[in-house]
Amino acid sequence: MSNLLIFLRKYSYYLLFIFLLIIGLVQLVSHNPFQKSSYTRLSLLVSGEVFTVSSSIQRYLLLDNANQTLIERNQALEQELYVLRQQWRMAVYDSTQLSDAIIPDYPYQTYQARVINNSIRLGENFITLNQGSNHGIQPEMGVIDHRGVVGVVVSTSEHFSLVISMLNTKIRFSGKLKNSKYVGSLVWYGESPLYSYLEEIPRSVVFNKGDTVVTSGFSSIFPADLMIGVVVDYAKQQDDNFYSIKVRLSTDFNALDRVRVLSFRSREEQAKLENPLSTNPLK
Amino acid sequence: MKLQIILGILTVLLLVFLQALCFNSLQLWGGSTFLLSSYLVVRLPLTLNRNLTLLICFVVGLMIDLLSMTPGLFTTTFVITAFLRPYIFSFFIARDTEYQLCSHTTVGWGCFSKIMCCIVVLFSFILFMLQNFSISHLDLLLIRMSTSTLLTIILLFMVESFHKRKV
Repeated sequence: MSNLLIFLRKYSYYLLFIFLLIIGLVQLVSHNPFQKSSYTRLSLLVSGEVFTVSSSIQRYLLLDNANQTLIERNQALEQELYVLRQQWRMAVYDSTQLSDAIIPDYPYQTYQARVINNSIRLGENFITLNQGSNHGIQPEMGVIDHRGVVGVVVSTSEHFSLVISMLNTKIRFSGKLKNSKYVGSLVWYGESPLYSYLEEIPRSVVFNKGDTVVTSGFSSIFPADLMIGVVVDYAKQQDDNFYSIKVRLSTDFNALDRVRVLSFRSREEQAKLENPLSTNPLK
Repeated sequence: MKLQIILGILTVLLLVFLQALCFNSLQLWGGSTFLLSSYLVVRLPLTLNRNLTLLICFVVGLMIDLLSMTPGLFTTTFVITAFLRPYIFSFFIARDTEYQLCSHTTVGWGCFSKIMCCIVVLFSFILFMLQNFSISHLDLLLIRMSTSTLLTIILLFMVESFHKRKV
C-alpha cells in the first residue's frame, strides 16, 4: 500500500496529465461532430487493420488443424474413389448385375504419421516415422503421402517405424503405365531423388512422354492406381526387348511431412493362404 | 498576497472572457485568430506547483470551451501545453534561478520572447491540429497556424509592453 502511495506521489504529475487529457479528448470527440466522425473513421481503420492481422495469425495457427482435416477428407475421398472404380469395372463387365453387385469396401486401413527423419542423399535411404507398433503399424505396410508412393515399412518399435524409401537401390516396386496391363519394376539407381526407372516394359507397349505411372496393385502393400510419377524419357534395355522408362516421381522426398501408412485388412488371411506350411498343424 | 491572488483570478477571468467571447468570434483570413489565452501559460508563476498548474490550465480551457461552444478543444490544448511548460522553461531558464514569474522584467526581453514564441507556436499547433483533426488541406492549416501564431505573438508583445508601463 505504501509503495502504491509512493508511486502515485512520484508520478502524480504524469497521472494527472493523462487523466485531464483523457477528459479533454473525450469531450472533443464526443461533442464535436467533425472530430467524432474523424475519430470513428480512424478507429475503424485501426481496428480493421488489427483484426486483419489477428485473423491472419489465427488462420496461421489453425493451419495445422486445417491440414489434418484436409488429410482426413482426402483419405475418405480416395477410399470412395477406390470403391467407385471397383463398381465401374463391374459395370463394364456386366451392367445387368450392377444393382445386385456387392459393393466392396476399401480394403486398406490407414494410419497417419509424421516423418521425423529422412535421407535422400545416400544410396540406401530410410525414413523414420513418429508412429510405431503401439499405434498399429507393422512391417510390410505401404507408406504414401498426398502426392504418391513413399516407401514400405521395414521394422517398427513401440513408438517409431523405419521405412525403406523409394529412393533406395535395394528395393524394387511394382508399377505400371496407367491404361496398360503391362507391369514393370520400378528401380532407383542412386542418382537424382527426382527420377526413378520403370523397367521390364515390353517394346510392344505403346506410350508417350507425360503418361502416368501408377502402382500395379499386384501386391497387398499398395492398392492399384496409386500415383508414382510421369514418363519423361525412355530407352531400350540391354537385351533390346524391353524399355527402361525414366519416371519423374510425383512424391517430393525433400519435403516429406505427413504420410499415411496403409494396412491391408486381409493381410493375415492372405499370408495364411500363401504360406500354408507355417500354420499347418500337421507340419 | 490575497490581493495578488484576487488580481490574478480576475486577470484569468478577463483572459477567458476575451478569448471566448471576443477573439474566438474574430476570424481573420479564413480562420486565423488571436490566441490571447496562451498568455496565461506563459505568465503563471514559476514557483506554482506543477499539478496545480495543470489543474488551473484545465479549468481555464474548460471555461473557454463552455463559453465558446468548442467542447474539449481548448481544454486539451491547455492541458498539453501546461504539461510541456516546465520542459520549455527549463530549456531557457536555469533551474537554480529564483524567478517568481516569467516576464521581460525578470528574465529580459530576449529570453521572454523565446519562451513566449515557443509556447505560442506549441499552443497554436495543438489547437489547430485538434480543430482540423486530420492532415488534409495541409496548406490551409499551415497558413492558419502561422498567421494565428504571428498575430498572437504581436498581441502578446503589446500586452507585455503595456504590463511594464503599469508596473
